[in-house]
Amino acid sequence: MPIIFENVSYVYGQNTPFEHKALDKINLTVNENEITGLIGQTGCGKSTIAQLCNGLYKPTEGKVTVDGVDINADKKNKKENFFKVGLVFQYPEYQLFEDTVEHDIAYGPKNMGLSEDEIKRRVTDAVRFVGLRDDEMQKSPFDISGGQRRRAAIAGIIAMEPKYLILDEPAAGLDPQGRDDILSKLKKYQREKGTAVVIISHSMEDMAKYCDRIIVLSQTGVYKCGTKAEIFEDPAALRDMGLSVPQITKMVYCAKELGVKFDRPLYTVDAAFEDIMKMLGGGDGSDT
Amino acid sequence: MIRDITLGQYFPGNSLIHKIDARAKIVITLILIVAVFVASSGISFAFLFAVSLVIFIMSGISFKTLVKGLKPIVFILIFTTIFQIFFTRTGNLLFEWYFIKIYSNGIIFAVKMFIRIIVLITTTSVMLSYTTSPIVLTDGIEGLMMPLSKIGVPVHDFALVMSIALRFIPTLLEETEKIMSAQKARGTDFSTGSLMKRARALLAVFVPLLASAVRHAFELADAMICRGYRGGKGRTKLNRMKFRFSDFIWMLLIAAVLAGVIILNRYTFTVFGGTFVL
Repeated sequence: MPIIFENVSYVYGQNTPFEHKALDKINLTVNENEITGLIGQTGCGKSTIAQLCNGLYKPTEGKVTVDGVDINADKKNKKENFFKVGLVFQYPEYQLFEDTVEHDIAYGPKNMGLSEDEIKRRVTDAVRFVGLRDDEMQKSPFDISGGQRRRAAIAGIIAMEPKYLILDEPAAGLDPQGRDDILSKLKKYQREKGTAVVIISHSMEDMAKYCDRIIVLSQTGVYKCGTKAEIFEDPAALRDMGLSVPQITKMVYCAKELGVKFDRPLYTVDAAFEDIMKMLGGGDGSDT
Repeated sequence: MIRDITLGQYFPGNSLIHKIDARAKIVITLILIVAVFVASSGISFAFLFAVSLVIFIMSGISFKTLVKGLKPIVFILIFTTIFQIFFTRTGNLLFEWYFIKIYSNGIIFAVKMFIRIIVLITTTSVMLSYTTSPIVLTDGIEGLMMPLSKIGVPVHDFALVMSIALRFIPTLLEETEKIMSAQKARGTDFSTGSLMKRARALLAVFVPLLASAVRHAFELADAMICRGYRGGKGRTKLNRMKFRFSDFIWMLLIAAVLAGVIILNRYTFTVFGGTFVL
């Protein structure tokens, strides 16, 4: 059963002079067992959606259901929802606080009331996924590098083994290598565990590379929801919203206008490379 | 939500009150506070109440805002009023029921205390917080304390510390909220459990908050050095405060109010055949 938003509106600071409607009657679905990308311009409500998913925010209007249960119906379920829908905030490294990285990762599972053995297993498992070194585990979270802290923070949520994992800009502020590393590790995690993963991002490149399904938000609501092919078929409309298709897709469109035919739509550099090499008659390109 | 707590609720405007120099405003407020505590007779209270009403109307601040600003002190207001009414044992006995005795002076003291607090809050908030931006206010305090720098008090640094503190209150509030949400998402429970448990839960907020405050401090210091900050010596201001003629008039007027209160204190009235001495 997925996460479903039904006519959800959210208003910040209701009944104050600073009232601001962030979401207006939106509908969307987060499916199980795939990576969903959530993309949109700054201020379109991406982070608000993330916090509505696990019940940190209560919708002003409408209903959010997780596995068929309205998460705001019963207050007693609140904690349970936090554990079921794991949320990694933007710049999560600033929320680390325990004396060692290991303790910090164990903080969430400990709050779930698990046994020592189970906590240990989960921590080890989460650390393996994000790729932290053993010697870093015993260090203070304030003594390791920014990228490693980001990993530790993500591991802290993964260790809770949520059924749904939502990450708000998990790669923001990282260098290209760190970016690819974290995102591909998340993909690997998703494929191994079958968790539903939602990645919020600004980058169409990342979306194309790592997501199975993409939800595009405009300032007014959900613009489109679908596979890469469905999302990227209309580059002009995306551009009007201040978004764009991946560079490589843009190139393929340009090539098409010049009369070069590709057999399939292309969204990642790797796939394009393969096709171009094939066209040049050079096999699969692996020998270059 | 934490963000609803407004600190330094400045309302930009163009009223005569807004235009008074911040230094003059601070002096005026101090004089008014003295006047409020000097007032003793009924007529001087009425006079002060009228003065604060005039100031309030001139400021163009809405009545709703003022009432909202008074909300936090409602408890103190009710508490002191009731205290005065029931525990004053002088004057004429007006009402008796078992152990409850209400005397005429109790009522008078209660009304006076009530007016005193209302006038105090109204004038200070209208004069300072509603019509003066926090930055201008710190400038004003710096200006007033400047003579102290002659005897070695680092006035400029104090003012800087104060304005930075003011500047970062909303930032840190926002950050607190964010960190609390993030820890809640990790299952932290802030509202239930034993005292130890809750203190431990708060630790998950305070440690990151402190770390971020320190980070902000270093970043700001670097940014200031990059822009050539080297302390108060020889530093000029972008917006120099000008003490105008009208500011002198204002200060004179308020000084006259204080004098008026002192004079009016001498006049008392008795009403209801001597039951009440106002």
